[in-house]
Amino acid sequence: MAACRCFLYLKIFTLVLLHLLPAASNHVEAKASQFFSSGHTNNWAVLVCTSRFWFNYRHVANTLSVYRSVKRLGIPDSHIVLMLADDMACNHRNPKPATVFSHKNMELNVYGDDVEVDYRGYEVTVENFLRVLTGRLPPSTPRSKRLLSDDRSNILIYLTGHGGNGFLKFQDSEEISNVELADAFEQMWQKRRYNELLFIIDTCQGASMYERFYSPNLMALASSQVGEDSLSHQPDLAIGVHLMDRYTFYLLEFLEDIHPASQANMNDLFKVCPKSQCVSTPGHRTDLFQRDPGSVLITDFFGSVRKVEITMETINLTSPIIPEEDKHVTGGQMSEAQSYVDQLSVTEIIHQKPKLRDWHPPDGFILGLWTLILLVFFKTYGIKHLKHIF
Amino acid sequence: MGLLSDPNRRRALTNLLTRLNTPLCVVCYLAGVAWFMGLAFEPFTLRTYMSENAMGSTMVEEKFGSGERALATGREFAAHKKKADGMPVEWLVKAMQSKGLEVFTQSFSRTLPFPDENKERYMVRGTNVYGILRAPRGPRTEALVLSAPCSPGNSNNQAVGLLLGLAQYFRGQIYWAKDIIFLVNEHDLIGMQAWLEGYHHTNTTGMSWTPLHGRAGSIQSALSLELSSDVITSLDLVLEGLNGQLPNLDLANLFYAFCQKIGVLCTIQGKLQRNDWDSTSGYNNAVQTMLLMVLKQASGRSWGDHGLFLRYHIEAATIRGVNSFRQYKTDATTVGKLLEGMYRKLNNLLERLHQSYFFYLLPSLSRFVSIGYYMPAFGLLALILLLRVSANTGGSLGLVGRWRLSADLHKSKCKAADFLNAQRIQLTQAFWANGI
Repeated sequence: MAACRCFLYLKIFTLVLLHLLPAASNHVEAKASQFFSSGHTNNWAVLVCTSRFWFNYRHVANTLSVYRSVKRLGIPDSHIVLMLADDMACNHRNPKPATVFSHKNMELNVYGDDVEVDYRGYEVTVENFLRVLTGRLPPSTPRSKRLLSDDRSNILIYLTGHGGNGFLKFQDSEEISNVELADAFEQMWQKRRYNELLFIIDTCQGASMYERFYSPNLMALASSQVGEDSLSHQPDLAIGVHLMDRYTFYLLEFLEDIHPASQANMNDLFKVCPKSQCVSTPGHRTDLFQRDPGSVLITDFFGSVRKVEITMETINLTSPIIPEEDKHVTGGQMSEAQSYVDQLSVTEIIHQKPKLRDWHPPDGFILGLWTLILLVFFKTYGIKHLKHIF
Repeated sequence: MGLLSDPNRRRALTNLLTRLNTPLCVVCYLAGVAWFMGLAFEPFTLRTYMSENAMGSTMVEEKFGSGERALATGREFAAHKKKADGMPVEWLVKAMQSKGLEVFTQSFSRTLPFPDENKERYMVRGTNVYGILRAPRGPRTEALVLSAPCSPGNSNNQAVGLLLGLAQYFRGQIYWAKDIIFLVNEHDLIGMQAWLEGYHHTNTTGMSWTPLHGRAGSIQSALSLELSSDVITSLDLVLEGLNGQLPNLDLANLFYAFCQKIGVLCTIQGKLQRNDWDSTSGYNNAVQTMLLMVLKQASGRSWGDHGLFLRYHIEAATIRGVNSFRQYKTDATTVGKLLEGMYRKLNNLLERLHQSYFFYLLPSLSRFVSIGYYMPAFGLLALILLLRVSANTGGSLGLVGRWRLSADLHKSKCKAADFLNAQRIQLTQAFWANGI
């Protein structure tokens, strides 16, 4: 009798547990699905300052302050391509050599002790920039100068310098146009070089640079609209130049509050530097982006977050080994999480028809066809015409 | 048909010109003079602005503080100058070397084409002393010059003292990207010319000078300092150089910007700027300033030691301290600060000053008239000459008309008139052939 009751209790317990287990595993599955929702596994940053000369100190300070934030939030130097067109820290006119300040009274030295500049001086050209983006570099290029991103990379691209309606000036001698930039991003998309891309530009009339984008998964921010100038922030009297541009100054202040576990999303980033502070009107573009900007974390682009979740329960991820009846037995809802190995085809990522290749007839078809034609000919007109062929 | 190709219209035009010649000349003359006078009227002028991007605004911090020590050095210099009865070369060399400059001297001699009234000398001999402050981190490709003349008697002692004081202060700064040459020249323009010729390896005046042993790269800009009293009330800017050449307007803009920042009274042509441009006396002031500038340029001589630099395409100006016993006095430290600020901004230059105007007139330090505005006035005056020429030849445009007229006249019985007309035809033909 006791054994019977024991067995009964055990059955009841198992049944209860079985009902509870789906609920518990549901919660864990939900967390697991969130784990894989952003779709990226590594972060890259390409930070470019395009102007030279001492009075363009502020552009170098802009780029270095974004570099500093990005590095602080976790992206390592090996994943950052930093291009500075001129050397302000060691310029002869710098009264504080080996420093680049972003706040007046020398509060913050963004040059730091461990800055690693990948492209310096005259190496910052339009050609090199486009080659870095598209990956078409000569084989002798060192690893630190390459953008080795894959289709699971989120890339942050930051450009600053002097620009105009539809172009950005490089080094006072050449320009990159918005069409070239859009085409470069399309090349990157077709070569599967990014998962999502955030493009920030701080120049005069910066919004014109993202007008021509047409590749998916691009989000763009600019410091001013077409027809407006981006203004510089504050001069430092001891150094004698303007230290930062307004938009990047307030962007830096915003990013200083972001830590690696921060949940701030892109909508907060769009609010950085309103017209009252920036004098110009910052703009942004999200129509090519798949996800809702409110669900995109700042750290998706600015940080390199290693997501680790400790869980005590077991989670059954979709695995090709588990046979179908086992799934029914456990009764739990399996999440749709994909494993890293399975690559989704492009048509599933974006709703696009697969591109048609040129159709070629089967092998040997043409040869057979000609043989048939010849045989028919000789059948009709007699074998004596064969000598005209051979 | 066009105005000049239609013979009827051409004849009408020629008749108009010949008939109205004198009235047209008078009108042109009056218009030219009125235009020129109107240039000084403030609404017709433009405010000066800095054109060079690299120089930017005056946002530097001036920290020069040893004006008193500079004046003491000036007094020492005066004493040594009196003892040496000329340039105290050894003392200057030692003083500059103690400040940390590379010091060199140059001796020169010039045979004057006319005798000196005082001493009946024909030969002028002198020595220039200059010290080079090397840029601590920069390549030795460019240089700036600060010069003070060594004048006989009691003048310009404070200038040399301030020059040495600034040299000592500049030596302690690390932000120099160009070398700075501190030059003390003897005999004003003669010494300066000798130094410039030696520096650039030219010999245009036939002077004999010893070659320069120290050189600093191509000179971007130069300032000449004339300071004869311990305290000054205003600073005068002298721009006119040899043959009426002027430095780039950006140099004047830089000076004026720093004057405003530091709060020193600045004058040009010795006249202070006035705010009441709509009153008669205010307008008179502006006209006088402008006309003084024109006259000084017309004289052709260099009105400061800076004038000789302009021929070598080096932008240069002279800053003269004036003590006119006003209430508000400026001491040497403030002048030093102004010069420090100017040199710090000139240090930022990447190319020679070329963004602003080279031909201009200044009715005051904050207003300028560019050549595009004052040239039409001279154009109108030159038009008078053209009108007179066309009147005298009877108008080369009326060739066909003249032919016909001469043909008609030829039929007349007056031989003398025929002869005269024949001459006229030939002259007209000659002008027509020459393409007037």
